[in-house]
Amino acid sequence: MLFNFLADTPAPPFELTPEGLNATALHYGQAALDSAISFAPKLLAALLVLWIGSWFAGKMYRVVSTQITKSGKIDDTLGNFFATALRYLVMAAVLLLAVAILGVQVSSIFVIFSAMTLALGLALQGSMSNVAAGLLLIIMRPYKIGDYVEVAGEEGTVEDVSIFVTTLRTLDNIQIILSNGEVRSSPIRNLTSLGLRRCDIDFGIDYGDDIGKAIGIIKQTAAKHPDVSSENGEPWAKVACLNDSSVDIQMRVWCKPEHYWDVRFDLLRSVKEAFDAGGITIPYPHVVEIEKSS
Amino acid sequence: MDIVAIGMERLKTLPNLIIEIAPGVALALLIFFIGRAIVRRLSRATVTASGKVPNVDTTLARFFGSAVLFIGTGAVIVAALSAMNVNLAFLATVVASMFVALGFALQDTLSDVASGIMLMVFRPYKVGDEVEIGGEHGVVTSLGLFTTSLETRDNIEIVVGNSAAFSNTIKNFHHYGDRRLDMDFGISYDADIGTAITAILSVCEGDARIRSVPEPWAKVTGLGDSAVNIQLRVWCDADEHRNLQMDLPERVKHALDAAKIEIPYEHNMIIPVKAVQNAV
Repeated sequence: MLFNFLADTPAPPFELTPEGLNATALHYGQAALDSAISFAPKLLAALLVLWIGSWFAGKMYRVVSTQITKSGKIDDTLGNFFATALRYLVMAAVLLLAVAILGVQVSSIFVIFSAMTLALGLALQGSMSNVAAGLLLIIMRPYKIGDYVEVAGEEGTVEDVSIFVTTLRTLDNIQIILSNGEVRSSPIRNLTSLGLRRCDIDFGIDYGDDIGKAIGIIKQTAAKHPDVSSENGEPWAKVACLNDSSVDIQMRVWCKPEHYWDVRFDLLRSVKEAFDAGGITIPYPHVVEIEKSS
Repeated sequence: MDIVAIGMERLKTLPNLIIEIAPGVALALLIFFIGRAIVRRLSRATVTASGKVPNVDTTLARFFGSAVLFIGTGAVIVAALSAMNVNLAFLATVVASMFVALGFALQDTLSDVASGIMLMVFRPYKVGDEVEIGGEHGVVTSLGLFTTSLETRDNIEIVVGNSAAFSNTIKNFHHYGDRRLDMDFGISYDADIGTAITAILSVCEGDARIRSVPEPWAKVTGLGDSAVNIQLRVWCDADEHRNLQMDLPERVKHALDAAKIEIPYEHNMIIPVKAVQNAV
């Protein structure tokens, strides 16, 4: 109730005479004046609360965000998000307080607000779960900007991790935007975080060829590549599988993540050429023809 | 006392009653009309102000405007009723339960709107981009509050709900401007790899659509069953990607023919059964 036009004293009986009208007008004029006088301090108090409250919210926002930036433990995006959320929460509380001081029935506003929050919650269910997932991603950091990752079936370099989405850039220049909920609910493969990567290539040689010689050629060729690292061990090659038409030798070499594809493609070619020069053949699929004896 | 006398007695108090209520009603009407004018102005101001924010387009600005109008009018009505000294507790309960019911009923629609706002603010794609959203591939023709429309190359219109678009993987093929085109070619195991790579790279010369930086790239990417696989990678404008993909294979075929490099059929080594028996 903003104004109380009905004074505490009962209104004089209404009469259609000059004296009667005068009495009525006087009564209501007095009531209006009384309520204006009693309302003024309320209005002043409410304005004061609003002013101090918004100053306090702004101050808190600055303090929290500078503290977060200074500590360096929490990501800037996240710090900003928290500080902004805090600011709006404080402002909402201040606003409610001011309205309550004015004399509006705050309890009914609360009921409507809580129902609205519920309805909004239903609508924003998906987005909110993305925010929750985004917070977890920023705090736990399974990957950081610049990592090469495989998430939700997509592969690429991480360009940005925000509250709602993760952005990847593929090697062939396509932008992939994944909602954080999608990222959290699938396995995350980080191909660069552990340092060196192992490059495995299978070479099939003919069953009639000399296995020892082929392994020697593979190891020699691999060791010659400038980007192959011996930090985690020398190039390795062993018979991995006796396949349908070939003996499969697996080569394993270590290299830096950024050299992975160069090493892979270069070695495919140089091993094939070294096999040609060394008389090792890479066989075609073999089929034995059987005549049906009736 | 007869009934007429009682009626007359009551009638005498009527002006008193009216005068008691009148100031409240007058104040309520005043609050309502002034409040409505303010809310309307606020709503228009919201539209203009949010139209100036770079990420927000007209649809979204108008949506914000009507949201302000709706909520503001509600607040003005509440204030007016409160000035008339009406008890608002029951009204609050009714409105609250209406919100919950509407929230349940419109859950999907509202989440489309929420995703639509996200899409308009974060702009993962814009009109004219070639994208893949919700598993559908096409060029974006419009982005509304509820849905995104795509147009495929074979002239089919696809309408994707915004929540389906935002909650699934979004691929934007236009975002970075340039794209890489990858094409695989198989050559015979007997052919010289160096000659083949030179022949394949030669088709890029003189094509203005192919970027010189990063320069065209061709390397052995696999040792297949019947062929050595060579991949050609060229960079071009995203708009030319499709055209190049349709132009290059024919040129590569001619270049490989000219260099006498064989593109092999599937090979199978057929061994007569007698040879196997003899070996055993």
